[in-house]
Amino acid sequence: MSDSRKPFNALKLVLLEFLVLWGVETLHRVVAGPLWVLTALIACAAGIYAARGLGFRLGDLLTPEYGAALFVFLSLWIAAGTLVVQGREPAFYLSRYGVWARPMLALSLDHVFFAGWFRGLLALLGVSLVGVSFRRPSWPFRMIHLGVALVLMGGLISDLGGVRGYMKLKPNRQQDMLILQRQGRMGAGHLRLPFSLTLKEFRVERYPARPQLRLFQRRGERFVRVSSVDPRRVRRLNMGECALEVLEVDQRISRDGGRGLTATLRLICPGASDAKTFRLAADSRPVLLPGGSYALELRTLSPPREYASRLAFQQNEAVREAWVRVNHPVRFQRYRFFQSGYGGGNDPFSGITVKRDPGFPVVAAGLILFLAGLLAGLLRRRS
Amino acid sequence: MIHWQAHSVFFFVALGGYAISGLVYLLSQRQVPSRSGEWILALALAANTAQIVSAWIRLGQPPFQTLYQSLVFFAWAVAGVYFSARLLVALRRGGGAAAVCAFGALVFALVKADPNAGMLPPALRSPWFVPHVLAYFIGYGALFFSFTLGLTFLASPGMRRRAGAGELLSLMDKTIRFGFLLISIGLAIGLLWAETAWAAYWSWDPKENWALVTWLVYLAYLHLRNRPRWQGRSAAWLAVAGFLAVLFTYLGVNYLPTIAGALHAYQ
Repeated sequence: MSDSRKPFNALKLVLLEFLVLWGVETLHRVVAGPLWVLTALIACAAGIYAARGLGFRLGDLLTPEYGAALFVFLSLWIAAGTLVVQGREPAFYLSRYGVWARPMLALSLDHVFFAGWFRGLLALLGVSLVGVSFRRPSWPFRMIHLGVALVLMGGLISDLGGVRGYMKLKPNRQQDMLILQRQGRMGAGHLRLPFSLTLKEFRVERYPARPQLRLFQRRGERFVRVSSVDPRRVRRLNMGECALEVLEVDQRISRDGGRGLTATLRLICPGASDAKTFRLAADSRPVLLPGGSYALELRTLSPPREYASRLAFQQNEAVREAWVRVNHPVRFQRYRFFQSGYGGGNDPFSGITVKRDPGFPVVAAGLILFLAGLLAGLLRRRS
Repeated sequence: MIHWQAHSVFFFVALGGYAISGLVYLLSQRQVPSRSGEWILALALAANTAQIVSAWIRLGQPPFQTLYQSLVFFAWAVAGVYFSARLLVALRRGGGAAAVCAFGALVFALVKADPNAGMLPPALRSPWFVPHVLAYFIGYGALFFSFTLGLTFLASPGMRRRAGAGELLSLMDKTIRFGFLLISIGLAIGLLWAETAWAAYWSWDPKENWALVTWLVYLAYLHLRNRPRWQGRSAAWLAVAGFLAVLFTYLGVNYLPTIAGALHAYQ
């Protein structure tokens, strides 16, 4: 075998692994119970037999060519997973993709990242990384490969032993039920926590309000936004042959929603005898401009800068209070609590994501080991 | 729609500087760096730096939030990496490509409204934000040079037989290794930050996935670069493919059908 052909042979090996893993997963859908284990074992044995027949050996899993082939193969599937909307019901794919839907579903393109064969390939990558790291007596090399293997192992532990869910906490109501999230889907069951949570206080800090002028253009039946600007900075908007000038912006904006904001504008069109001057009030319906091709809207923007919940964790008689903010989770027992969202109006709530993840420390350790290996390799080259 | 008044004077100085510098480089037609082209490029980089610093001060936050702001920073990263490489690894070519790329990024930025966004959402208000963006964009800048070097190698017939081919490929390799280190740091920081902000270090989000695809393509290059018969054209092709993946990760992802509701999307 010539060296230049080696990567293509490695690609053949990866393809064979994919076929075996995909076959095992498909059998799992068709054959139930212990019989599946037997059929899966037969499929694996057939795969190994075929690999040996094609001249592959166990050592081929430890070559750089195998690594490169696996990376390219995984890349293609990951890219495919970004082209197809993930995690919907089969009916969605049948209506959207027609005759292509069945093969797509058979190949798990509706849930690529959670497909058994995809995880199997990642597991094979992990095995290969561990094996490779003991082949070369170079510490940076080992650190890099073992680091990535640890990241993959951490992911597996997170998957098997982790819990992730969501709580919609209402003010002053004791709650302990978690809506579980599995494989990216919310509502995959419920879990009762061994303690309860009460939302004692919720705070939203907003940015000072600022005006935003939005211009819409008619495209067929609907209007499409073509521009959003701050009218205090952008004083002229071109709209085909016409132009819109901002004459004045009343900047008396209150922090709580910008009531009272108005803008005075002038529409100038060639051929028109005089320019049309008009006043636009903030947060009202968009105004259709003469000619009917453009519409204009003035809004006040005051998005949240920070939001936080004061939570009371209670187990038996013991109570602990803590503030949970975005980017600042709080730990209680083996769980961590993240500020994820909120709702206002008639149904105020604080959205808290709850997570118990024994895999994350392994992932973090793997990342540190990997980066340390990369830097060590760089420094060693320089020296 | 272009809103000329929305951009600062530094923006136009940088835009004009990159355009003139690119023209001077193209017209000089020499192997050695064009001295006047270099000076104009340095001036454009200074204006670009001033624009980023002034926006940072005016907004009171790092100006890396919107696509406009990131394009301005991308132009800075490409020109900045060029001058760093000139000093550190004696890069003797690529000035013209840097000027053209930075000019292209600023032209694209010109048509993007909202250069004055200054309201970071709570999730972005994190100490991880600046190092994450810095690592990625400086990495992208380095990988842009590997792309131009790869293209130069592929576009020059008989390059393999020329004396400078080895030097070109070695430089391409160095820029890829440096860029890979930085995008790896960016990826690792992103994982740790996502765990803190979204309670998930990996969400299989389109942007994350394409960042992983990019990383895997360069990883394939690093695994094959020392293999026999994979050091010339094949390596150059991988360098080109890698940067196309970078471009898709940066800009193309916004047009994917799966981007709606994704965690990473430019405003």
